[in-house]
Amino acid sequence: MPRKVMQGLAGEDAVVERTVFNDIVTGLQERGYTVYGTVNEKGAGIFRPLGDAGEFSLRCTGGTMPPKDLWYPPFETLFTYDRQTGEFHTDIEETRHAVFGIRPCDVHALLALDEVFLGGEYQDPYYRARRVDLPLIVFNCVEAGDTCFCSSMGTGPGLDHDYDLLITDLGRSNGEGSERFLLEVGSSRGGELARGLRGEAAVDEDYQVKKRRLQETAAGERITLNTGDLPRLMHNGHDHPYWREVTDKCFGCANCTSVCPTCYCADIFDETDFSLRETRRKRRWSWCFLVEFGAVHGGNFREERIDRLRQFMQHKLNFSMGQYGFFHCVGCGRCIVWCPANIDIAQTGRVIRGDA
Amino acid sequence: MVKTDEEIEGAVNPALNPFRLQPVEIVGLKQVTSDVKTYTLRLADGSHFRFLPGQFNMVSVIGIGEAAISMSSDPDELEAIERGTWQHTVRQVGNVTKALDRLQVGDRFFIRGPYGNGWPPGYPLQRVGASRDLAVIAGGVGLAPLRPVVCRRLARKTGRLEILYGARTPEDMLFRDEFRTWAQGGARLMLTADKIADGADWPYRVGLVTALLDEMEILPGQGHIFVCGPEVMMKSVVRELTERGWPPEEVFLSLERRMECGQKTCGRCQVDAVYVCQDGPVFSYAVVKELLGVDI
Repeated sequence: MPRKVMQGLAGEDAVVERTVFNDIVTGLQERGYTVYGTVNEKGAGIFRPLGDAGEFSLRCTGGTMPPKDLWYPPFETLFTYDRQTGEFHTDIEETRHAVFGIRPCDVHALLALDEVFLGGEYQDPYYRARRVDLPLIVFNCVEAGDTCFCSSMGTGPGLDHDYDLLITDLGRSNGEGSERFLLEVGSSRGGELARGLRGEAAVDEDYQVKKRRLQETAAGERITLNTGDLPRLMHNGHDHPYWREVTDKCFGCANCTSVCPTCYCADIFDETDFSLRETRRKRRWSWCFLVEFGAVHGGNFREERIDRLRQFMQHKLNFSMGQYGFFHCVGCGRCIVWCPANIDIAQTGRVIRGDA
Repeated sequence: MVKTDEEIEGAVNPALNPFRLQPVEIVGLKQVTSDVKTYTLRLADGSHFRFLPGQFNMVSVIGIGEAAISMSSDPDELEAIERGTWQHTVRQVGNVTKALDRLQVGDRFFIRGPYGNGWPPGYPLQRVGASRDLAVIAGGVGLAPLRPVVCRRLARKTGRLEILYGARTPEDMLFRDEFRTWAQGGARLMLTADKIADGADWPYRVGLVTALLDEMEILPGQGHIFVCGPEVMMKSVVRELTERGWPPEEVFLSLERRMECGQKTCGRCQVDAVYVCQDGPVFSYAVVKELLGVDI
C-alpha cells in the first residue's frame, strides 16, 4: 500500500504503526524534554523517564500512581532563608517534562489542578514553572480497568481537547496485519512533533473505528455513577446512615487521597538544618484524612473519622462543583484499588444519591 | 488546548511570588492580658501596609512556622497612617505565637498578606449603611478582629453601636483600658464573664455572652450584627438571635479554620464549597447555615 508522508501540520491526523512511538519519544528528547511514560515494573504501572518507547507499556491503563508529582511534587522547597545574612533565596526552575501515555482521566485531573494553582487570585509560581512547558501525548483508553468509571464522570475514555498528540489504538485491520494507531494533532507543538512521521492520512473510517472502540470501552466499565444532579443529592445526603457504615470500615489511612490525581491539599512548614545556617520553607502533600488536618488550638473541626471521610468524598462529588464548576473526581478508580477496606467512592455516591 | 508559555502570562517573577515574605519591625508592645499582647508593627522597608478590618496576615517566625492572625487596629486611623503602623493582638497558644511572645521592641519578623474579605462587603459601611446601627458580639480574643470596626465606627459617629463582650474571666478581657473611651465615644458596652473570683469587684454580668442579648436595644431591622468568637459561642448566639427575629442576612460571622497558605491552594480551610481564607473569613449567617460541616 502506498504511504503518504505526513506534512505534520496542526490538525493533520494520521494512522501510524507502533514504531512511530519511538520517533515521538526521540523527537521530544531531542527537543530537550525528559519523557515520562508508564513502564510495567513488577506488575505495577509506574510513570518514569523513558529511555526509548520500547519500555513503554500500553497495557497499564492509567498507571498505578498518577503522574501528578511531575507538576505537583510531594515535597518542595518554597524558599531558603539564610540565618546569617537574613537573605531569602527562591529557586524556581522551569522543568521540561513531557508525558507519553497520559490518559484522558489524568489530563482532566491536571486541568483541575490548573484551576487550583493558576486559576485564582494568586498564581502559584512553583506549579506554573512545571506546567508552562509540558507536552502531553495522550492515549485514549480502548480497554477499561476493573475500577475505571471515567465515562460516568465525563472524563474519558476518550479526550477531545488539551492534548498535543492523541493516540487511539485502532487494533488490526480484520484482526490481522500490523497494529494501527490513530494519531491526532491537537496543538502547534503536537504538529511539530508529528512533522515527518510516517503514516497514512486518516480517513473517515478510522474515526469510526475510534468512536466504536471508545464506546465499547465505556460500555465495558463495570463501575458507574449517575452524576445528574449529584451535588444537590450529595448535599441532601450529608446525614445519610450509609456514611457511618462506610466509616466503620475505613482505616483512615489516607491511601485514597495519596493516589488521587486531583488531591492538592498541603502542609507548609519550616525545616532548619543542624548547623542552624539555613531554614527552608517547604510544602508537602497533606490529606484531609489525617486527624490533625482540621485541628486548631483548642479544637478540631473534623474530630471524627466520619467527618474526614465525608469531607473527602463530598469534596470530590459535591463541593468541587461549587468551587470550580466540575467534579474533582475523574473516575480513575485508584482510590478504590488502593483502599485496604474496599471502600468504593462510586458505590458511596450511588447509595447517597439513592441509586443503590 | 494545552497552555503555551505565551498563554500563561509572563515569566516567573519573584516579586509576584505569593509566598514572598515582608519583614516587619516591632515598634510597640503592650501586654493586654496575662497571655495576650498587642504588637504595633511597621513594614521594614517603610512602605504603607493597607488592609481592611477583619482581614488577616500569615505571620512568620522563620524556623518555627506561620500562623493566621487578624489585624486588630483601625486601618483608617490618621496617626497610624502617618506612622505607617498597624497592630496584631495575639494570644500565645501555639508554636508561632509563643515565639512571637519572646520578641522585643525593635525585633523583626515576617508577614505575608493581607488575606481574606474582611467585615461585610462595603466596609467602611457604604453598602451596610453608615447610618444603620451595629452590634458587635465577641467572645475572648474574638474581640481583636472587631476592634477595627469599633474604632472606625466611633470615629465616624454614625448610628448606634452596641458591644456585647464575654470572656472566661474579667482578666481575660482584651482592651479593658479602652472600654471607657469606647463608652464615652457613644458605644453601649455590655460585659459578661463566665466566672469571677470570690469577692471580685465586677459590676457586670456573670455568665455566657448570650445572657446579654436581652439587654440589646438595637432591634431586628435596625442594623447589623458582627459576631466573632469560638464556634460553640457563635452557635448559641446565632440560635438566640434567630429566635429574636434577626434575619440571617444581617448577622455576620468570622470563622476560624486552620490555614497554611491564605491563597486557596493548601486546602486546609475548606468548608463545603468555600475556602474560609479567601471567600471568608467573614460570612453572613445566611451563608454559614447552609454550609455542610459547620455546626452553627
